[in-house]
Amino acid sequence: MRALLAGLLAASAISLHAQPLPIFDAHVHYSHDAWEVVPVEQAIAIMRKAGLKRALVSSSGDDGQQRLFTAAPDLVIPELRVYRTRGEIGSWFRDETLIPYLEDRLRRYKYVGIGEFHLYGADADLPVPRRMVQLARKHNLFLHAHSDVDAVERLFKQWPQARILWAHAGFDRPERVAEMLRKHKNLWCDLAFRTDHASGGKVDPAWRAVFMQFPDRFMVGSDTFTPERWHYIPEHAEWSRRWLSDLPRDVAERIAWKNGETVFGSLLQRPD
Amino acid sequence: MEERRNGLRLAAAAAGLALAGAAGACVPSLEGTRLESPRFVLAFQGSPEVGKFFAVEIAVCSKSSAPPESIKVDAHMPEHRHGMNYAPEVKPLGPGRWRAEGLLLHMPGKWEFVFELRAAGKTDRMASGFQLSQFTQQEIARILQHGPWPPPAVRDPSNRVSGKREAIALGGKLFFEPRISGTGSVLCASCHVPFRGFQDARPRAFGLKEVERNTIAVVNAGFYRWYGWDGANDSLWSQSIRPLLDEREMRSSAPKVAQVMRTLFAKDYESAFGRKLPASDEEVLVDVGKALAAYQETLVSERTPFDDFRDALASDKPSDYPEDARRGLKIFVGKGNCSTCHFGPHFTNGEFADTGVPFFVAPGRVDPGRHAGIRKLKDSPYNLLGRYNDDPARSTATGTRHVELQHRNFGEWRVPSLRNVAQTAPYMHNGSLETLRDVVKHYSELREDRLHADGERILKPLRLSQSEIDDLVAFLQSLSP
Repeated sequence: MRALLAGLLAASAISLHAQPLPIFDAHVHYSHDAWEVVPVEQAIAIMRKAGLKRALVSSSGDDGQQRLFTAAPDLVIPELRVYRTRGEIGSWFRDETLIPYLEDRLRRYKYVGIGEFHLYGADADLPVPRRMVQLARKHNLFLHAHSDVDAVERLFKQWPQARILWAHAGFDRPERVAEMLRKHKNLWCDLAFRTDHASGGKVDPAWRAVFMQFPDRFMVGSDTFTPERWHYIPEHAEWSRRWLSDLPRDVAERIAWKNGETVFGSLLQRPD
Repeated sequence: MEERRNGLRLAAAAAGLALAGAAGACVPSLEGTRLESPRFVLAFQGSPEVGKFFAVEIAVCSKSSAPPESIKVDAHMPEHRHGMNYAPEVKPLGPGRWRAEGLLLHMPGKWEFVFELRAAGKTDRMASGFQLSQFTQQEIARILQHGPWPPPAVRDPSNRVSGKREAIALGGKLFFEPRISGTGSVLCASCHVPFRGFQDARPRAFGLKEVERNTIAVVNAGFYRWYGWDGANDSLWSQSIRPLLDEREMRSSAPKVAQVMRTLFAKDYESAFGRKLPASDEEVLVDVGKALAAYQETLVSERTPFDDFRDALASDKPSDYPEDARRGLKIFVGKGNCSTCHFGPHFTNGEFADTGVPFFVAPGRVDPGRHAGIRKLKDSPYNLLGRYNDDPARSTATGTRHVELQHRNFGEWRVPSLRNVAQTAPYMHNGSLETLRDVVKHYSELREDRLHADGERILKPLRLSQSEIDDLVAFLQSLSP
């Protein structure tokens, strides 16, 4: 009997261990050109199949992610993208019509952040980005910045208490990312669309040092910048699990999902 | 003629005036093209490029009389009977030195600089003719990189029968042999049709069923590093095995191929490989791939009008290469940046790129391109790291050893060669663009939002005019015989 019990317990432990690591995907877009070719039901099915615990979703043309959020509020965490169409990536920061759009959406819907927006260098100090930062401040929202170090610094200068999710960690070197994390306590990083931190399931030594030093400040992300890339979400989740398994379990879990859950998971429940 | 003469290489023409070498009377204080009149010796330097303002440095010395009181500089096209659209200003720089500013030569062709030196109530006129190329030195350097053609033959060290006459003969027979297919009805040449440039003119290949991708011509295939739109194979022989085993293409198998070889080609095999057919069906299959590769290595495209022009440019000889193709070539190596990826004599860098072509193949299904290709390559028993590589040094396996799976590979496709491109419509990995004009328009109107913000920065919409599109198409057409 005792042997049977021990066997059952062992089997249970194996089963628990065999569960794939949940993933908090911090960089998902559901933009207008995806709505028809990846319908809401299919998008949600893809995320669930990939084992996503949650996903931070923004879409160029905000309606898309609102539909996703309505269909799967347990899965989708909405952030407000500053683009009405994806073609605005290079022009939004000079487009004053954007502000009434943001104000309108913020009045009507709940978000945890504004972004992902593309903003580099001194453009961060232009009037439109400044006004966007003020709106984030007013609504207590994260900024999801696809930016270089200079722009991140300028955003913090405008709002020292800002909380910034640094998209792709600026495609910068691990040493520079560590320097920024050391300097700014309210800075988090997503690792979307970069592969330099891990190869063949092994974590790069320089990146390992940064992950170990700042285990609470990183998240993974797939970056569905075209509709086709929705079908990469499961692949990306698997790829992430492989390299995360090269880190201590606790660190891996934090980067895989706990950081996203801790930082964003409860934000939608807060009172206005 | 003399395409390359522009800028500092301006050649003085015999305009009724002797070169200063014979003067001896005085030497102007400037290195450059020298002209002589009865009273003066003039030297000048300038770097004209079509459509760009430039200046001309001038030095004059007097043989015996007083220095010139004024200098007038002009340029005109004798055959067109017109000059520039701008009047240059000549500024004195000091004793015997002037600088003419504000010159612009607005078209390529034969031009003539004219210098009029006025002194003591008389004017000495000197002229210097030259051929202005529409290409800058940098552009010429890029153009020359697209040749010479044909390149020297290469032997594949991973294939022990590469270049062997008997293997080439066997490969030629097998290429046109339907019985090696599972149904006995499909041959390599079903898709690689010789009179269609070894392609099939279909959007997507059709062996026994339609597949998702366009047929790539096998001409010049012996020179490549990766094979297939996704680079799932790293040798021509492994690529030759792939369609044999694909259910939708030739639906064959190692036992089927081995049986055909034993029944029909045993002697040919022995001549080609110097041994009897092995007992292992898979070994036979691999050797069939190698014989097919040996044959395909002999398929090299012919010289083209572009090659003639390129060689003329290299040797400073005249060429009747059409003007529209020249203008298209200028876009190709210039503002179009096409030659960055379509590089070298083969007009491809041999690698992979996402150029914004959609890659859904059916609702809910995508063709992952290079991403899946790397996976297949690594898993393939026929890759260059495997036991079937005949080269013990694995000298051509570096790419296979080091290729790295990256997120950006999802939706990347091999940069195709542009040789014979006019014969291989339709275009792109899925045959989604019908004509060369459609391809040029794709790049002209490129949807940047389909590319990652941190992706390849040279991919910008070219915003070409209709005439520029015509020119680029004319150039692309000149890459076929």
